[in-house]
Amino acid sequence: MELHSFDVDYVARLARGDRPTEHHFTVYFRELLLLKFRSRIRAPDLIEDVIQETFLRVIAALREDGLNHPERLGAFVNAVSNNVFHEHLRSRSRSEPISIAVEPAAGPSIENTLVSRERRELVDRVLRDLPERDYRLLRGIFLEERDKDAVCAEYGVDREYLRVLLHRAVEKARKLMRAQYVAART
Amino acid sequence: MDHERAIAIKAAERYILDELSPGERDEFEEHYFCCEICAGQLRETAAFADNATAVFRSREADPRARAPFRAWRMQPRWAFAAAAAFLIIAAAELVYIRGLRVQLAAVLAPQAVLSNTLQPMTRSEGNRIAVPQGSAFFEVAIDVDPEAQATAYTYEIRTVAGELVARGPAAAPPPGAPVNLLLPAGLFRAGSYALTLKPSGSAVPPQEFRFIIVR
Repeated sequence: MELHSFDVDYVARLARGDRPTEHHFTVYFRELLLLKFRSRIRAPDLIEDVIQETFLRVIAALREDGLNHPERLGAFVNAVSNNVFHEHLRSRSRSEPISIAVEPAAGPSIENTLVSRERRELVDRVLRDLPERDYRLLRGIFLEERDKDAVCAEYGVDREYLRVLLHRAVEKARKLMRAQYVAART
Repeated sequence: MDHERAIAIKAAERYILDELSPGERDEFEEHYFCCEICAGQLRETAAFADNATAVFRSREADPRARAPFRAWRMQPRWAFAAAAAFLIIAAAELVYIRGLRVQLAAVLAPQAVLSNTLQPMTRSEGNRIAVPQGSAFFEVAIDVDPEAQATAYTYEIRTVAGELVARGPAAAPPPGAPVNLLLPAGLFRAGSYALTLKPSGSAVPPQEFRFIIVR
């Protein structure tokens, strides 16, 4: 998604129900909210509930009171989502003995929202080019979901090495994606 | 958390790797909801992690889709054993090569060589050659038949049992001078040997000598 500045005009359009602005708003923040809550809530339907409730409250608040600092729209969305999440947490904990934070996933994985055939092919190329140790390191972390300290110790690296490795792999995938994008346009 | 700090601590990577403390996580969330650059970085990192997981899963499910190097990929413990074996061999080679260098240095260093003039078989029961302990070489001097007028010679040394010890060419010496052979002491155990010196391009028959190595 292209960079988009949140300013007075954007907030005003959102408050008055401008469809393109609403579309941008929901698509942009939906991804961020998914990233935020997928580590806290394992139930996809509950994540969806929190996201929808957050959108409703944000837009209602904008229509009713506006926003003093439009450039802080993101922080406002984040704050509202925190409130919604804690309300859901409290309501669920009153009615259910199991915390939603450790509830097993049901239905399609929320992670699949970021998985696509094109991205998989790009990542596959990046992984194939990795040295043996780095490949096994990432496999131990992402597939086997083993303890990170144990995996790093097994391959004689520290946690900073793992962060840098991930950072560089992401950068390489990004470059490949850009190259593909440019090639497709020419 | 400001943008510089988020970049400095690799907050996006730490967030995906679940390495941030609860306080840092809240701070970073507050930041990336306002910072489109960090939001983009986080999205790409998450996408990479999710797609990498999908790739690893598909490779596990389909062995044919596995990475090319998987066929020879070693388990870490075997890799360690192989590395240890390699180091042992390398250390042994190092010791061996060092030994060779010592020997080579000893050979290349100036040294006094015992020279022994061999008498023909008809004139002696045998030539006794005493090779001093530690000598790398000893020399034999052979008086050649002046009638041979050979342009070159070949020599051959055998044990009395007929086992070949050494063979090679020898340049023809100036008239009146002997053929000198510098022989490695290591090739000769104590015992009797027969040396044949054959002239090239001459009808003169080969000369034969006997000698005994004494240590």
